Amino acid sequence: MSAHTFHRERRALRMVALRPRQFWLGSLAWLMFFVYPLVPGSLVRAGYHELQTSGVSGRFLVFAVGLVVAELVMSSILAVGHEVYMAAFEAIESLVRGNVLHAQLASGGPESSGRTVSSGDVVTRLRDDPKDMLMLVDNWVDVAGSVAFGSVALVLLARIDAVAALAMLVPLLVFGFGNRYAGHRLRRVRSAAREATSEATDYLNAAFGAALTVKVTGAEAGVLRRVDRLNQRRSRAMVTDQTWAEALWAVNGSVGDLCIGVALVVAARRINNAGDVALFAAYAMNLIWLPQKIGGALVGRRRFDVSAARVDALLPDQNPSASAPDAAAISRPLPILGGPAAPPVMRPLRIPLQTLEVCGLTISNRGVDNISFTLRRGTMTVISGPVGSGKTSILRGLVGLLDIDEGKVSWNGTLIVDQAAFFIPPQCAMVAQVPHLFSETLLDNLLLGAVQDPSEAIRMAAFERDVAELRHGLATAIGAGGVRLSGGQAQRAAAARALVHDAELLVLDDLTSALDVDTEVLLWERLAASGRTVLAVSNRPVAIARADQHIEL
Amino acid sequence: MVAPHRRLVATYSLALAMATALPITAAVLLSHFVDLAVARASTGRLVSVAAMYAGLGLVGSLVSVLVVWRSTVLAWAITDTLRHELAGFVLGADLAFHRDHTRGELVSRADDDVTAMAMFLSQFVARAVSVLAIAIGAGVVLLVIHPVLGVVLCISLTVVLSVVWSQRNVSLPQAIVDRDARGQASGLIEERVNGAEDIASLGAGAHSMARFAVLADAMVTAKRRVTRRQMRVSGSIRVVLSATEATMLVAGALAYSAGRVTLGGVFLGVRFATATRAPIEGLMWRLQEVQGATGSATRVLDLLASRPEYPERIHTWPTGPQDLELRHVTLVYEDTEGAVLEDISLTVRAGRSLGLVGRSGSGKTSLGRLMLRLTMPTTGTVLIGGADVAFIDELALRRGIAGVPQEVQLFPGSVRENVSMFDGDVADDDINTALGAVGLGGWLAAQSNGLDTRLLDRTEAATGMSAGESQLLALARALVRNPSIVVLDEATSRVDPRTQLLVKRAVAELLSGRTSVVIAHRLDTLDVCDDIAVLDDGHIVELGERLQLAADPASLFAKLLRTGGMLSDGATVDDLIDSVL
Repeated sequence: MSAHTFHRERRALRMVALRPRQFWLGSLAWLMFFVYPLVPGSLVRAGYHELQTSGVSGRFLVFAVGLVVAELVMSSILAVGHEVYMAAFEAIESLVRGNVLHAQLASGGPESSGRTVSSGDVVTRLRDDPKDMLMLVDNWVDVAGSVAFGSVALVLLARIDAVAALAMLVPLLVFGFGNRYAGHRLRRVRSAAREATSEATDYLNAAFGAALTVKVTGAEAGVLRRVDRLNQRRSRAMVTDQTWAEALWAVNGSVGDLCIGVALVVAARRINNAGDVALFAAYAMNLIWLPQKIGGALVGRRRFDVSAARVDALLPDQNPSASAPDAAAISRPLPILGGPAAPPVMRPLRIPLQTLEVCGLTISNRGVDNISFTLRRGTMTVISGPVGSGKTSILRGLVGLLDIDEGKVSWNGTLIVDQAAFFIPPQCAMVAQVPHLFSETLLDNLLLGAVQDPSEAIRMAAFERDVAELRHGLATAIGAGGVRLSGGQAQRAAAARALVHDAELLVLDDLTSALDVDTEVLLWERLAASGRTVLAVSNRPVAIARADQHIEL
Repeated sequence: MVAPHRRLVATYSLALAMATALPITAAVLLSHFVDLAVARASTGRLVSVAAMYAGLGLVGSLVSVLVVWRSTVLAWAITDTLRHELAGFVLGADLAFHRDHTRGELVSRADDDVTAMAMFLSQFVARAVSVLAIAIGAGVVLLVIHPVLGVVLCISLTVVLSVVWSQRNVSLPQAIVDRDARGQASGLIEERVNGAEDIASLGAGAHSMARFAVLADAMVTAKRRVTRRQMRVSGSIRVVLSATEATMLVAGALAYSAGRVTLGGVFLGVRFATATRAPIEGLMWRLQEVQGATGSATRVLDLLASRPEYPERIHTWPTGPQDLELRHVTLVYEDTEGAVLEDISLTVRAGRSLGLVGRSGSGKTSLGRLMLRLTMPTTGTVLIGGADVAFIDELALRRGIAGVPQEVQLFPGSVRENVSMFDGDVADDDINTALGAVGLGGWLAAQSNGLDTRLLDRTEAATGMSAGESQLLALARALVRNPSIVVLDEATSRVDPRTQLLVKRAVAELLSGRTSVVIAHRLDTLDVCDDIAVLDDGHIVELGERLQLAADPASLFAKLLRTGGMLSDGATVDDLIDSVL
């Protein structure tokens, strides 16, 4: 057995180590829960014995009341334990989510890293995958619990009749292998169901989205027929899927009865009183845990691999020689969730811009070929050119959002090696072609954690009148659940957000594409008057007219 | 909705009856075994009873699978009927309805909510029915065998079930908080990942992480609270179940001491109490689904209730020359101020083509929609061949008049399906002819799967089709149906000059010999029109024959042509119209 046999478990345990006390306390409660059925089984057996030997005695009543008291105690322990357990789960999952989010934000997101993971997919992965990884430990706790229960129960039953106790293992084994087979089958059936579901949903989505097209092309009947056909196919697949899944559970219930029957057939003579029959009957129902939980852990290991791969794909590429391939997922827990406060963010020191030289910039797959230019302090440079000429890529390559193939960028004559780290405030602030605002107040959106008075930035972005017209001014919540800004407003908000930092260099990508002419003129006028160093991509005559330097691609 | 599925209901009921009878019979057999064992019966009898019990266990597995299968089939059959109705009504609804409901909302109603209902029916309702059946069956059987114990069992199980039912909403408020916290965190992650470039370039990562930390904390707290509440509910139900078992044990023991039941009778009473335990616990974890499913059902019913009423449409497609006429048409949208169109009257004579020009918001798109009966005029009438379109039968109307929307929408499916719009009666020859006529013959020949080529990939992105080619496909869609009237809203997406020429030719092909209205965005498209109408702010500000207007230097149209001519190729009406009006 190599050291890597349990690499999954090791990784899962490292996750557990983020909240070890709560997690193991909760696990302990679950272990007790698994062992607990030994108690009521024995109590009922003792009750029958007492009843057969001395009738309804005081001891008999103690056994009967003991049933309820034991349940009360166990439920209370489990209630506390499970709450702690779930909290630990949630905290660990969120730490992993936080680390992945951190990595995504640092790398500029799925777009920059060139990966084909949509933000929606990131959300799905972070919702489910950390839990699936952590479930591996949970699975093993279940195995430990059912093994503990199973071995004690079998010993107790063997004391009544050893052959009967052993005979019960036969249906359990058969069932265990049957379960494995059904599990394989279920996975295949499930992926077919998922396929059929997404096909039906995709089609419905397309049809509803094009409802007017459907109408004006007279396609209602044909499209509806297709909807029905896909729905029927989905129904069939879902019925198969649900039947297999439920069948596993339903059969579980009946296997207990089978075990009891087998034990009684084997030892009909020797299990000869109500108490012993009751004990066999009670324990058989829970012995089913053994094959179930062991099978569950095996499936869990496979699921772990899938989830771990999906999470790892969201993390920056790792050095293959690094000690643990998965370290980044959890090695650096974030100081959140009651941990020590986050260290204050160290902003880089301001290096006043004199000249910025871009020399031989080449990004071959984006059509940027050997671009050179020089910016001087306080000037405005406008790059223009047709669609697809690489305007945006020049800007993104310059500030490090896009890997460049060749080219040098020098700030006051000093070569910049890591552009992504250098071109942030206070050196540089950028407004993307399609800026993203977030669902919080306008003020929070403009500052993004900076401590600043945004009013001058707002004025410069020609945004002040819009702010004044919002009902709660800067305190207005925007985005989902708040006010939706128009395209032009969003652009100017993003401009104000960049201007807040009073950065040495302002990089603007097609800033005024959604503005009306008057606002556009005003904005360029104010920018020019501010004396800022500006590098802008724009085809608008107003911008080109204001430029000190015009680069036509 | 159940009515059409009588046979499914019958097979399900049969399976359910068997599944109920089996565990009850098994319990009776086991109690019989106890009596035999106590009475020192022969080994042969003991073994045969035990073997029958084991046999029931085997059959029980099969029957329980049968119940699950039949209940799931029934649940999905019922909900498929519902899906059909919802989809049909959404696809048939007019523009006003689609203005009120977003696509996401409709898909969520007609798909997600219905799936939730199917799951609820097959998972919760079916389970609940089984639990009830076993509880009632056990009560009745015990009443017959040992009346006293039967009464106690019936009372105990009634208490258990009412406790279960009373606890169903106890953790709901906490569950809602928990779900909201989760939704907020997901929303934040999605939003920030989308805006990761903005955040990276502004060095604002720490701010976003601080926001996430707050939400993560809230999630932990919410999870704690909802778990606490759920555990309280499940704990109390478990204790009540144990109390039932103890009650049956004590009641049985008392009856046994009094000589009224055998030891096997005591055993049977306790066994019935435990037999209901596992299914009730299974139900307990799903109690919250009741609330969710009620919500889904309400939303679906609300949607069905919002089905708009249309006037009775009894008229057939008018015969004879198909003039398209608008008489004093005014259109006011409920939620906007002022009329979109005001007192518009115009006639497009059969076989002629009218070009509509105006800036965005002038009402030209609405005018097109009125002609296609996607929306009804607030006052005034739209007539085709002299017949009021309001009363023309839907099928006949759609067959006679074809619309080509501005945005080309492709469907998941083959080229054939995308051209015939899923009408299986359209012959491949006609599709080939139409594709050839719009200039897609070469494109089609280059596809290895011909008409079977799939147009959208899994992510719904168009595969192997450029913007220009999909515009051509949209024209082929209209052409293949051979309509007598065409309303074309020209696409605005930019395509290369060669494709533009193809589109222009295809448009000419589609319009020739038909009554048509073209909402024009490109200047050169107007070349194929006989008449021109210039719209501004809901009014027709100029209407006349194209050649006459072009010859009149004072006309808006002539001005438009002059300005366009001064600029380079590819100038669009949209670029120029502001300077003219």
